[in-house]
Amino acid sequence: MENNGFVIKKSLGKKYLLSLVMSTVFLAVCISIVVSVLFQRRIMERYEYVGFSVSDYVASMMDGDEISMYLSSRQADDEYEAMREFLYNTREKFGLIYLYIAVPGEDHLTYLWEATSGSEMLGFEDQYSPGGEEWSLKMLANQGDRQLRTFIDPQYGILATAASPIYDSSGKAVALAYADFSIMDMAKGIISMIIGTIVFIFGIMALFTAIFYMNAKKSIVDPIRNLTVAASDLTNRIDKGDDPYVNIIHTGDEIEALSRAFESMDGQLRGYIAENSRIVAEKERIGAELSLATDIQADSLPSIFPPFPDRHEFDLYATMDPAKEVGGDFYDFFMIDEDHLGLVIADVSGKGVPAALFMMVSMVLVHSNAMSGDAPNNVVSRVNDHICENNANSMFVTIWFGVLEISTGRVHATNAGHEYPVIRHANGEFEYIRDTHGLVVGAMDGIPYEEYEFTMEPGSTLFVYTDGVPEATSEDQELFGEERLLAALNKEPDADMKELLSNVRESIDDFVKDAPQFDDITMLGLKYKG
Amino acid sequence: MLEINKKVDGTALTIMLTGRLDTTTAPELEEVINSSISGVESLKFDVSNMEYISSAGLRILLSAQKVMNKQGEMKVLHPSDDVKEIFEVTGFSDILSIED
Repeated sequence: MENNGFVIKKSLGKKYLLSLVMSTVFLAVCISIVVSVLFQRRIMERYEYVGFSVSDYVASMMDGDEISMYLSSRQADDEYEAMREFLYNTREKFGLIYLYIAVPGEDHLTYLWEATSGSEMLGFEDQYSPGGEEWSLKMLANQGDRQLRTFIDPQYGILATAASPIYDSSGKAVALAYADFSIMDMAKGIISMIIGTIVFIFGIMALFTAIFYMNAKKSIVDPIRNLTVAASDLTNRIDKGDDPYVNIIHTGDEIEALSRAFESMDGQLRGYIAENSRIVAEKERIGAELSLATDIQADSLPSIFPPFPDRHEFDLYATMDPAKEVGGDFYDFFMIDEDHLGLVIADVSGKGVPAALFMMVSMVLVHSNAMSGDAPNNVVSRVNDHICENNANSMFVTIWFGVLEISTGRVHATNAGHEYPVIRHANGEFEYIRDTHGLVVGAMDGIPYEEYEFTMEPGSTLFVYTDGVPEATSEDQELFGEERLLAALNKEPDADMKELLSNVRESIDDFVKDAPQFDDITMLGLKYKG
Repeated sequence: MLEINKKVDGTALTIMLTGRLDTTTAPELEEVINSSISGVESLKFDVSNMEYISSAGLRILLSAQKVMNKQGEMKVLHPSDDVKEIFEVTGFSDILSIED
């Protein structure tokens, strides 16, 4: 199963199975150890009792004084032979491996009788096996708990030894009666019991594991698998029209909760996707309308240059680049009569669609009022009153409106809160006209606007613009500013108007670099040729 | 990029503006004014720390001025030289009561 490139390396089922097997092994080992230790302890107690009973019995049958005698004389007689026979019979009767009487000395053991050997064993000295000396001396002293000594015999396997002291008439322990018997049966018993336990536990656990595994697979792994399949690529499947996920788990546990949560998520997601599709469609519709609005607005601005091909007294060019789809800036120019050219540049407060609507109204109002041939300040004043009549949103527009008398080069203008115009008198440099400013149009009705006048000699250039030019902002939050604007204009002061405007635009672009354009950038240039 | 701090003292409201009041920040200020202008008799804008005001910002001040024309007075305090120039160029210095 693969999800977003993720491959399941260890499935839950395998992990579950592995942990079950591991806990089974652990359990089996623990149980085996506990059972065998307990079992061994019980059996050894039993062996101890039986072993020491035999050695006690043999010891009680021996005469300590005779032992001292045989030890010193080292001569076997009939009595000695009778004792050996007794020992042999006793060994047979109790199924002992070895039965012998010996004196434990330092470093070595001195034999007196050995049940299966003849008199040659009398006085035979033998080395202790490791630990044998200490144990024998402890048995001889007969103090405290008696414990069997176990060792491995090459012939008979694991043996246990019990030993009991033999006393002489003075009550002194002179020798030990040793009884060796096999405990191989017990060892075999323990091994077979451990095997039996392990087999039994494994059998039971295998059964349980299988049941648990099947159960877990059915109640955890499979539902999660199904959920994973349903979750992967969900949005695409919803798009394709696949049926919604329906919960089919009724286990009453967390898995069912997860499944139900997923069911509800699927439903919500479908809702969101439907809503999203609706929003996207709406956006597309608005986008299409905006693009149409952009075209309408662009068409409403005169954009065929040269605009008056038969008039050779002036060169005119203008551009408007909105920051959004539609802008709030506009420029306009029109012949009022044969001798008067109206020039308008304006900037509506705000941007986007509201500004664009306001701009269209303002543009039409200025144009239609200007055609009366009235003085520019009166035209702006009438437009202001008109706009103020219905302006609940306090929208306003800055307008510079000038009228060029073509025959004389005289310009009458009014500035309603707009940027300072720039003029270049013939052969001079571009400079600002610090004209008197009135209030922006739309702010307050009934206010008068002032008119001012200047003359353009042949060869003079007038440049008007909106605040998008000086306030173009670089990535460092620095404004383009008035000085840079003059510098851009003065770079090629004799360029034709189209070039002049494009020089300014390039200059702005170089300055702001990759910073986004915040405001509409609108410019109009007029060269008066006379 | 615009920090707006309000101080209410009875029917007097002072709004401190720090930063740029432009198209992006103007709606915030408009909301603040709309929610608190009711019943205000003296509205003051302290613009000593205002770096820039665009036409969208001027529109908010104009709206506030129109409301305050009916219910009291409005003042714009301590504009920087740059901001003052914007007020003058746009003619707002004629309709706003500006104090240095």
